[in-house]
Amino acid sequence: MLKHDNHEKNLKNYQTESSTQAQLQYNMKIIFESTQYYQKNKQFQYELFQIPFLNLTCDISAFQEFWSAFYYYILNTNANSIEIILNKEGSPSRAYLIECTNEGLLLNINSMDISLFNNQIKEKLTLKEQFDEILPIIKKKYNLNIGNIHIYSNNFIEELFSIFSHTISQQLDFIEVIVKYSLLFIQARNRNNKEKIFFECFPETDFTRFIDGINETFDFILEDSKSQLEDTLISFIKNCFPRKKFSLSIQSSTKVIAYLVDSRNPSILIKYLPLNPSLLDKHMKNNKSKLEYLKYLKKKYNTPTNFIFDLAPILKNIEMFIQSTFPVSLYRLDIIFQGLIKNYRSYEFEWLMHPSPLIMNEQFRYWQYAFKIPLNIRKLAYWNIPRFVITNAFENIGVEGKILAIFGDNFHILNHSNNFSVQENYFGLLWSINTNKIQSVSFISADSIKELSQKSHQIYSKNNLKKKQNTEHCKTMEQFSQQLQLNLYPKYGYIHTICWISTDLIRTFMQTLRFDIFSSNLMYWFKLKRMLKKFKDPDNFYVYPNSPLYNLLLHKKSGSFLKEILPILVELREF
Amino acid sequence: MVVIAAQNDTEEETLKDILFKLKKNILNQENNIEEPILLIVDIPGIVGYPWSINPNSLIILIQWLTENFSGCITILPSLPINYNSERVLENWGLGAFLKRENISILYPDKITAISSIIDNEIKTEKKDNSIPTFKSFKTVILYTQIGLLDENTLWSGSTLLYQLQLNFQSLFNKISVYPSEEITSNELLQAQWIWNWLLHFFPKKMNSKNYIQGNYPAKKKILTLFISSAFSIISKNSIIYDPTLIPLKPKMIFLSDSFSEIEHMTYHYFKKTLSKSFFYPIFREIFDQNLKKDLELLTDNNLSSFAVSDLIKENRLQKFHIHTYFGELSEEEGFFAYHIPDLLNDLLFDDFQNVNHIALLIGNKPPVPKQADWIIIFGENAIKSTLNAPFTLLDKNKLPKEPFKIIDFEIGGNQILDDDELEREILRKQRKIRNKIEKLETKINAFIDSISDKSIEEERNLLILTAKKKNAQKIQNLRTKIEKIRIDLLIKNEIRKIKLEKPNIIINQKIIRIPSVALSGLDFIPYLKQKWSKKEAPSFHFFYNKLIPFYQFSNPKNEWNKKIITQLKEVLKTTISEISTPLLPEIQRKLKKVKDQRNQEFKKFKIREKIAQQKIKNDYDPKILELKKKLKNLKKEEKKHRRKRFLMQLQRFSNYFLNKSILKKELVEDKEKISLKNPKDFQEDIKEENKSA
Repeated sequence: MLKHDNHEKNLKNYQTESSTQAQLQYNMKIIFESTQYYQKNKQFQYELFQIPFLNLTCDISAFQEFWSAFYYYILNTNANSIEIILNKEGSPSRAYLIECTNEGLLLNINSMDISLFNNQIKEKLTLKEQFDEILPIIKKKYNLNIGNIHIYSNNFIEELFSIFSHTISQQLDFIEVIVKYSLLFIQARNRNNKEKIFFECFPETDFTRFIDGINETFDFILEDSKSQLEDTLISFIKNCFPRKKFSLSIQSSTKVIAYLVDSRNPSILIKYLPLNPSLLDKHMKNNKSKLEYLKYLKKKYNTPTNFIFDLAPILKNIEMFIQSTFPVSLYRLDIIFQGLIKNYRSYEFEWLMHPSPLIMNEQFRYWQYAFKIPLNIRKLAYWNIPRFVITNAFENIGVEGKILAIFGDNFHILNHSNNFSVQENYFGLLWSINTNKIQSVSFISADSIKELSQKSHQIYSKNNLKKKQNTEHCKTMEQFSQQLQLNLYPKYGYIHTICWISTDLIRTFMQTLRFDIFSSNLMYWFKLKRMLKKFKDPDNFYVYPNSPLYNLLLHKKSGSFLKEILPILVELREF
Repeated sequence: MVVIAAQNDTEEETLKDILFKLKKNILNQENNIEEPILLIVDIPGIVGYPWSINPNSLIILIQWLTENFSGCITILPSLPINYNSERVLENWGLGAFLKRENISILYPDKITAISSIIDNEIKTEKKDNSIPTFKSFKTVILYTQIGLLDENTLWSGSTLLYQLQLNFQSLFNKISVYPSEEITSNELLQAQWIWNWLLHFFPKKMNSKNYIQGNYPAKKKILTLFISSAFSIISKNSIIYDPTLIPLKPKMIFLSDSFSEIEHMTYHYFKKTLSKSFFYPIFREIFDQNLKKDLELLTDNNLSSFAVSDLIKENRLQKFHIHTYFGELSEEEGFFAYHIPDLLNDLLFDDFQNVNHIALLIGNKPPVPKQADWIIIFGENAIKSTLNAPFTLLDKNKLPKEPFKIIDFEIGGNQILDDDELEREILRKQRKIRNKIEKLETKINAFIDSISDKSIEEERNLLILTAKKKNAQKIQNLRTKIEKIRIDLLIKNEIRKIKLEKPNIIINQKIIRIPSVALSGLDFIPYLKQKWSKKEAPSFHFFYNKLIPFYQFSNPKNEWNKKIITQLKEVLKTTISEISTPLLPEIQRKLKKVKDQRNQEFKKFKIREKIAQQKIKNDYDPKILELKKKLKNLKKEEKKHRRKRFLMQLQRFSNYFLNKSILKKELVEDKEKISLKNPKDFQEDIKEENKSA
């Protein structure tokens, strides 16, 4: 107990005062020690620790459980590994041998003799050859079978620590950290990267294959300046995030961890919520106890909405996502979204929330049907929805074509300002589809959009259209898009579809489907209609050329459109 | 005359190669591209590439033509005439490009629109304003996207020509309703020119279809270039986009100025026999002209031939159970029969997944489908030849009719039970009554227990006996019912059987008839929509609504519907008179016999019931009477005793007045004694008094 108290104090001290390396070392030490302790006593020594590199408090047992379920996407099934860090000249400066348990838990770390690798670097052996050569040596010297070899460049490590130090000093919020780390890893795996930031591994894992695939498809990541891309992505994700305060709990077979997410401000706060152990002793195997737990969270932390998710379906979805082969086919996307929708509709089986949503009430459903609202979340046709969306989106394009998706805060300025100057955060992603596969995605930066938009605006503003109604806005957007399509033709070729999507719309979409629809009052139907109205508003969403589905949406009332489309998206037949 | 072919990584590059070779090898001073140019492009519907041509390639071709020859280009999309071609091209995003290049577009649907406007009393205005500036086209380019129709037939130049011929034929049929001399628009003149040009390719039909005078090309032979893009190939039977389909990539484009040669070459390279194709008989004369000559292919590298025969099997799986029943097909029906099964497959898959059998009947005298859930009959030939078919009328009595359940109650259902089922049903109903009997028995026991505290034994026995009698009567009644049920159910089943022998003939409502007029494009959809409700087929209705801006659907004509219904009613009348009338007397005789039998049986039960009830009465009544007598006596004696006591009290009371104090005491004691006594004590008192008397 005394040891435990000391640990809590240390943790706080390291969190606030210590250097990045010291904090990392301390937290890694906790992981190693707790694994060793667990091996002997079948229980964990400590309760809390900081997740390495993320500055996020977590329950150690929950972390270890999550890690053992997830590690083989990042490491090989034999998780023992050699970590080699190169110096600026490209020769090994440090090397570590990490020993793991059969479950992938980190057990021990030993510093290695660098001279072991010198010959191999000199002979310029490939990573596979290095691995094959070092395998018997390690076996002989440490009596350990290694499963992975990782090589990091000095610049990569420096970059990693600089992000981490910013994280500790709380200059970055969670979204910023994730984006920065992701871009760093993508950059490090890019063969054309000139900044000598690299990270290599053998054998390749799902994680590296996924990053390589992203590098293949999203070819723009190194083209534009990284900081600009980072800023654009961060502000985009933050703007898309619903402005809510809620608690998010994840439950594994034995553990529950809870976080408070507060996204009401631009900087998104994620905070660990310590839980009452007596509450967790019940293991929360039935929904009643889960609801009790959520009520407790609401009462204690004053969170208006509380979610609890099962870990297994989340891992399954991550697996589906990470194991995709690149270029990603539309069929694969179909399957991934099927999994997500299946998870979404499995209320009470895979997730639960408090306050309980009215829409999930079985008796209320009969009233809904009586008012001819054929909405039943439990019966969403998960097999049909992605196919329906893909078919309607690609109908006029076919199996090959280019789609430009332009994202911005709002397109109000395009429709209303005569003195046009783009101040919004615009950026475009040009998706090239070939034989139903996403072949490549090009990034069109805010500057080039601005330049092209201004060109277009000069042409169409001569018409001096008075823009007041939606139909007139649509005309403006159409002219604007036409001109943009012509302007982009010399550089990017023929673009079949230009889609304008505002972050406001994405936020409303996410908020409606995740929060509003599950509200405990009757307003959900009106909120769904409000969301559709946003789709109709060219300030938020516009598709050029008007595809049949978009055309139908524009010319129908939101309610009747919903009533027409819902019987297709919901399986209403009773078997 | 040669065929040029090229193969490259992208379609744009391949097209550029082809155009370069064309300029270098085929075009010369005598044989050159001259303006105005007509560019016919293969667009079968609102679906994108590779069903339709690649818009990017089209732009490259237009740019090449404008840069090298002339900007005077007219584009004709090969869409069926009811499509709103302008909207379809806009839907492709081509509007801006075509506007920029100043390309004029010939919209077949607009010709019909103009003619209808003229007919609606705007003739004079139109006449004055429009001065036709049409010049005969000097070059025609036919740009086809190669696809597959079936194992033997490719979607190639011949398909496109045939489809154009069908489109223009229906266009002129439509226009012929209005006086053609009144229409002098450029579009119409262009259409007339194209029609005349098209007829060159259909020598067989020369006699049946006349040229339209006035605009026939002066030069009999004009430069016609055929471009067949086989860069990506897909089965083009259905014009609905399916994301699961993966196209084959031969990465080839063919070009020639000879229709016959390019067709021979395309079929040769895809390892198919032209003579087996659907279009061979139609274009036989042209194809056979060049058969003996050696084909010359101009290409830089050796092209490998490409077997596409497996594409249909692998790629377009039969999604659900649509069965085709083809009779003798006319030429047009034959072409339609290629599309319709796959198109319906895609259209109806979402809504009718659980339907086992949808039958499509096309052509004269098609085979009769067995047990189809829905029957769709296409074309007048099929409709006429199936008016008397066995599936047109249904015997309602022979249709399976299952009851539906609300909670535990079965409603409806009128099926005949077989022996085992009947026996089970009888037992089920008998069990219910037996349960009632058991309940009655438990009730009587409970009653006996409830009256156990009655002081007078006779009274208690009387109550028990009367209750037992009633119970026995009820039980006897129920036992008779049990026996009755067996006979009742047996006879009811028999009656049902006999009644069902009489055919109850109705018109089969699950047949959709579509006239020949609706065989082009998507004209058949409103006929299906009319039959299927929104609730029944939501996806289908959604597709229809989505397509309204792009397609001019014409509603099914009431006159045609009425005509069909009257024909069907006549058939119904004759069938009823033929089948049901001779059967009626025999059925009635059988019914009477069975009913008589039932009545007799029921009479027997009634008599038996009476006897049994009488027996119960005889058993119980004497006992009850005896008890009643006893009880009566008891009551009489009690009455007597009461009177006596009253008299005694009266006597004491009178004595009281005589001797107040003494009598008062005695009276009180007596009173107490009397209140303590029960009826038994009274009886004993009476006995004692009698003895003493």
